[in-house]
Amino acid sequence: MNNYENAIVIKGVTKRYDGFMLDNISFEVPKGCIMGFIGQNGAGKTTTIRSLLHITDIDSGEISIFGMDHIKDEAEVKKRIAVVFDELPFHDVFTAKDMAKIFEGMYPEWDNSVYINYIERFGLPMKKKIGKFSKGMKMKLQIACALSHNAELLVMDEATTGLDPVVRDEMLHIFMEYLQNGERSILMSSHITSDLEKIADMVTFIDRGKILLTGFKDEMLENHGILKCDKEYLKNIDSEDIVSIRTNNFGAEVMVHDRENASYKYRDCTIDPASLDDIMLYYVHRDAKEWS
Amino acid sequence: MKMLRSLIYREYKLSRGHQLLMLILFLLVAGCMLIPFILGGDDFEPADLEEEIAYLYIFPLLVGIVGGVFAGNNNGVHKADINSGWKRYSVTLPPTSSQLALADTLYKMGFALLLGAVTFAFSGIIYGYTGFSTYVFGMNIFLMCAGFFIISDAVYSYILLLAKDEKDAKKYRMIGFFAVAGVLKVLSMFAEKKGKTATDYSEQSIFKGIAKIAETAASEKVLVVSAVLFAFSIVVYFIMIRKSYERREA
Repeated sequence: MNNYENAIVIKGVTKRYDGFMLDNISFEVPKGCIMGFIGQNGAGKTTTIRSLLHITDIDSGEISIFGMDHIKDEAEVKKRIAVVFDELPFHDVFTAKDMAKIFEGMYPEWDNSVYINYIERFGLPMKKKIGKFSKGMKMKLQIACALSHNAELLVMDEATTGLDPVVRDEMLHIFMEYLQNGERSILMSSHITSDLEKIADMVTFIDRGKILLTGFKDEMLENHGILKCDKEYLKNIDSEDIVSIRTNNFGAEVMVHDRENASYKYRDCTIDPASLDDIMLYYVHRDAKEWS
Repeated sequence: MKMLRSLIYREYKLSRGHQLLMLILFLLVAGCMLIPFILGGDDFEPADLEEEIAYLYIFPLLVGIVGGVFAGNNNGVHKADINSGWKRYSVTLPPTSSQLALADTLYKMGFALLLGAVTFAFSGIIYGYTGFSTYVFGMNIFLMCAGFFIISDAVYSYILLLAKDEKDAKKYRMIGFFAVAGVLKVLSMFAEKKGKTATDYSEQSIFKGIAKIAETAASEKVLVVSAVLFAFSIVVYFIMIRKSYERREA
């Protein structure tokens, strides 16, 4: 096992598709950290994750996992990672018992007792065919498989999408438990920002193939704010302070990226804290400047 | 070893229904081919030597062909892997392309050997009834057919595995199907050219044809060629499947 500071380092990665481009993206996931990867549908989250996992080749840039090259050291890297997709990629004819038999030989650190423990905890049947599982049960099975081989990095692509709030909450709780030893990291892509607000230490925000923000979630939430004013007041606000402006019949709501500074500069306005959802929404409309 | 066992177990669980059906069909075909020997072997009075040879060889010929086709036949696992999303997911798992291809190849070879054993046993039963050995002939036909169909399956799978998902799979299955049909057409044109065109389908002509095949295929020297062709097809299958697993999505 090698020593590394960042579980994932993505540096200058570009991938071109017809009509879409992952444009020179860079970000890091430090060891022991939960990184939320947010962006609207089609922003490039899945392409980034597929590039990271070498499901697709990149056109340029560098990706390292545990300090190793994601292609050159692929075999070693893949023993130490776990992946959860939005859809269960297991065949319907298999049972949870079959999956244990399959993964047992694939992962050197597969632990059957941990697997059985998760299966029992999730209330999953061992001998029922996966095809007869509900969506929630399928996701739980995928997560049980992902967490049973002592993976140091868990990569999830929209894993909680489509699950009801109760199951989602249960899953988030398990992810936090999983991280407790400080040696494990999670990259979790989602457009359900409320989940990430609950558990993420860091957030990376991608839009139209570009990384707009990456950093600690608390800092991000602390720095951004929504300034409320009337439309007349807008001319007093420096354009440099504005991410974008949302107008309505009652006035305007301005997303500022330096809340502390804005609270000094625009003392006669109220500045509310922004949620990840707000940040995403205002950044998505950054080119329009004013939207409603 | 543990890894291979896991991969082969997965393949077995996915294809056992299909393989079992193939095995049962093959046993039925072989069983039907034994009926003439069981029922009326003693009453048979051939008109000439060619008819006698044809009578003795036609059944191992058919069993060898059917066995070879079934042995080389696609077992549907690649298609199921694409449809379920496992193909994409498998890229994130520890097995390398070589390990995945080796598991596929060993499993295919294992099934081919099982059908080969049935073909061999069939010749044994004929020997028991007639005292006439068709072992070499039967195995030659089986190995050649299996070899051709394993190569065809390698071509088909190579094309099919370009598919990323279920929607893609339909398109690539069609392309693969036409590619295999093209390969077989070229092979049949080559065979026709070699053996001149056979347009006479009279009984006598068929007997002559079988006798001619028997003349060549009952030779032990040809068995070496068939075994080499079979081994070659296995190597081709492994290389093409490995290459397919090495490929990444565009």
